[in-house]
Amino acid sequence: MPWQSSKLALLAWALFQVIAYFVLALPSLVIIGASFDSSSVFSFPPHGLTLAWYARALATPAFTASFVLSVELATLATALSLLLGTPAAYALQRYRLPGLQVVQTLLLSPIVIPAIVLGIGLLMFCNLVGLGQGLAGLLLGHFVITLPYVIRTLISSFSLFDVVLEEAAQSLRATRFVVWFRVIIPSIVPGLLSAGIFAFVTSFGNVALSIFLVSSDAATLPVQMFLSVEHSSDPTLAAVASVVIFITGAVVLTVDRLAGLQRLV
Amino acid sequence: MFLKFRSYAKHVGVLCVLALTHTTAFAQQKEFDGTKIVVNGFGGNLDDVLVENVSKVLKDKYGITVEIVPGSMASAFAKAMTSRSSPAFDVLITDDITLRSAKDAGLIESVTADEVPNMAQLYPNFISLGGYGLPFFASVTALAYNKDHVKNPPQSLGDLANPEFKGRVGIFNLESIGGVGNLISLANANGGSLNDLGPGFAKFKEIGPNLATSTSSPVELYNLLQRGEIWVSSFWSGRINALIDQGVPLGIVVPKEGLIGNLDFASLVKGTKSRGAALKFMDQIISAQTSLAIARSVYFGPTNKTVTLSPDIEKRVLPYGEKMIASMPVVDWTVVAANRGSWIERWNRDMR
Amino acid sequence: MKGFTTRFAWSRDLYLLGLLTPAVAAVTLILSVPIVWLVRISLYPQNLPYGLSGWSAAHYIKALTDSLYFGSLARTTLYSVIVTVGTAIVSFPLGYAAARGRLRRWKMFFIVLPLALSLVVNIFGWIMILGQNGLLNSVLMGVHLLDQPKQFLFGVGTVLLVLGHTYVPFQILSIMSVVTQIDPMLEEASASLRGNRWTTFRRVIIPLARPGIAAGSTIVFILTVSSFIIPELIGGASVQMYAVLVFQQMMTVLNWPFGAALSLILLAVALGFARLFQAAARANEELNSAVAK
Repeated sequence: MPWQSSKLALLAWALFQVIAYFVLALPSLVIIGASFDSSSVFSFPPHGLTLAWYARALATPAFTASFVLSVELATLATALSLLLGTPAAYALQRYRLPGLQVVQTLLLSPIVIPAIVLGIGLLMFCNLVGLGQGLAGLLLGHFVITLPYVIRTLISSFSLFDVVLEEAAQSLRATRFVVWFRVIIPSIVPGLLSAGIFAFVTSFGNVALSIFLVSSDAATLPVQMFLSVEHSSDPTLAAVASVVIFITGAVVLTVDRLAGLQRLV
Repeated sequence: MFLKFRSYAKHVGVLCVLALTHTTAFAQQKEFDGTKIVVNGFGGNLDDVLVENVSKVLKDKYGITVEIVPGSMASAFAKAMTSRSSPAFDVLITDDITLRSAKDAGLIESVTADEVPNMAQLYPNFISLGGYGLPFFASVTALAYNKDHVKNPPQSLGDLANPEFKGRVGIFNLESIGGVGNLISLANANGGSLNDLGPGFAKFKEIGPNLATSTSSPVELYNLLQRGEIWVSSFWSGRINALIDQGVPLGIVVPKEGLIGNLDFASLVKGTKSRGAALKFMDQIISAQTSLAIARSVYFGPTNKTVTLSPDIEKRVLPYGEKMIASMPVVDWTVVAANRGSWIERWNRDMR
Repeated sequence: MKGFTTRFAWSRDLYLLGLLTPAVAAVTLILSVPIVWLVRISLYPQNLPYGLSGWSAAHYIKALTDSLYFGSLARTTLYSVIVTVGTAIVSFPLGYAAARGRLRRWKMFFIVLPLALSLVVNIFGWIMILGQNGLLNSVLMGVHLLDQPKQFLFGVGTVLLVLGHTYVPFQILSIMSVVTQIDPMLEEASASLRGNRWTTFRRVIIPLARPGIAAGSTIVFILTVSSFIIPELIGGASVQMYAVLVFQQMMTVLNWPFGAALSLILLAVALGFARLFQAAARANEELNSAVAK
């Protein structure tokens, strides 16, 4: 920061951030605390400590199998969205043709359509096309609801990226391919990171749509969690949620480290 | 030594062959070997009970593989509706209202006692739509109150309006079939009927200011009762007993307005490719074995007449017994199915 | 700066097409059935999911004239605007500090945390915090600010708080990603020209970060206006957000035609606001591309 600031201002600023981050973390902290509670009542503060619920969570195939599926699904959906969404966002941001507003609205619409409607519609679609229940429908559904986040985020990313750099590369006789991979993509890495995180998290945590698309051999973790609560309410669920938190944290920290390195290069 | 080994090997070999042919012969005896049927499930404990008492039995006896697909009843209905040409489910599990919607939508077919022998063992009062849906458990809502905080336990649904419970009452709204049952009970007890629910709505309006919340989610009420956030509720009796087992200091009271039974049914889906196996499933799910297991683990009422409960389980299960079941009012759920939309709208307007 | 105008002008349109087609084709294909079905079913006169025939706009008329539904739509839109603006205000300083300051990696971790919590678990967590037997009450009574537990759950305020909390990461991350792309030299230049921090923010940073704020706001608005699980469970009877009513019609009452009409109206409102945010972002495009790195 290039300015001189009063110590008081800096202190207030730091305090604001600490409080904000604490509030952001609060529900997660409470859940993690409850996951160690030795009494079977889902409560905080915990009455005694135990790892029993984690053991139970890891021993429940409904949770472990669906966790793996959710990770695979989220990865695929995110990859597809980034692959298809990045060029689309670029085109939407760079060009000023009239029809493009409509296109942008179309690409944004999946997250506005109520999950119920999208779910039933996708069921019909899968039936028409002969895809049947299961992974295919889930993938289509998750792809279509992660794409809007990618596009919206990258549009804002591209708008800060100066065209002059691209034109400069072109004038140096770089092919479009080179321009993309040497100039454009490295500059929008923060946007790609954000978009990727949004997409992954949206897919991984999605319940409302997924409930329609799951089948007996393809069920996602949030759906299993949502349904297990209907008939059993012990901290096993908190343990499952806590595991997800730990893994998410690990992934975010790792990915950021990788992306950070990239920016230095 | 070598000779001995050879004869030993021969004996082992003969035994192996015998064992193999014996098992394959035995396997060939299984009627539906290799057949798979798909059923919609609930998630959680209840699914486990079904796996243990239905899926396993069918697999051992008939070679049928049962796949239980997790999901809500509404999403299962949607799946069934959108897969008529190639049904997503072979057996559909529904409640009183969804059953009627499924029948009217042409999704399910009726079965006879010849096809499903255990049908004869069901309480006649519970067979509300003939062979279209076979009930496999019954549940009722009862009053729950927190013994640590409530000095004057409520004796009726109407008591929930007592000012001393202010802010500590949690009930189902009309999206839950339990909530609908409460509405009907209140109407019946206050001069109304199924066709004139005005008195019921009026009572709910009185209860309104006392409400911490009204919800369609049993999970939420369960959690709030467990944590002592609400002290008084009208909730599934089986769940209240589950909470008591967990050590939550709850008392349970049968409301003066009476009990309304909510059944869950198994129905044969039209167009299923595994009719025979599906019928076996339905037969097993209404069997005494399954009925007893459900009663024991989640305290829902058995629908099979031949089931007798041991005393310590009996006191936790509602409804149970010929007398009690005969005394419960029979509700015309077809009327409910047709009118619930406008009832929900009225609730929304009243309770804002 | 209107895009490529020099070398590859002749193949520009093909290029544009090539960039867009995969995404558009995929989405159109996948959405085709749901949207067509939605529109058709909303125009049936019946109130059932089967036995449908004929045409009627009755459901739309009801949706737009019945005070229960129209009122809910108005309220829900208002709530969504409040949440969007509230999260934008809170997110801007946080996003900026996270982009520029130290401990970026850890800040990212905290920001993503609410997104990692599954909906149902999130709600349980809030019940544990805001309930009468919960954390907040224990703390407030412990420091004697309260002598009786107060009911913080179940009401409009709580719903907005939880919705805001759940969706604020989208705002923070959007802003963070654009601020990262703003050249720090610009801020230094402004400081060297004796601009104080507030002026720099106002004249330099905020205009440049506008696309990020617009992107985050679009996402938060859309998510809030169509949220139903959180309002249903945390709101109690009195909140009645629009998507909860849609859920009631589609899933409980099985009145698919009416539910479809409600859904299409929601779609129109949400996309309308999305366009608004887009336009606000575009208004500064020229400024951005001229000044950004």
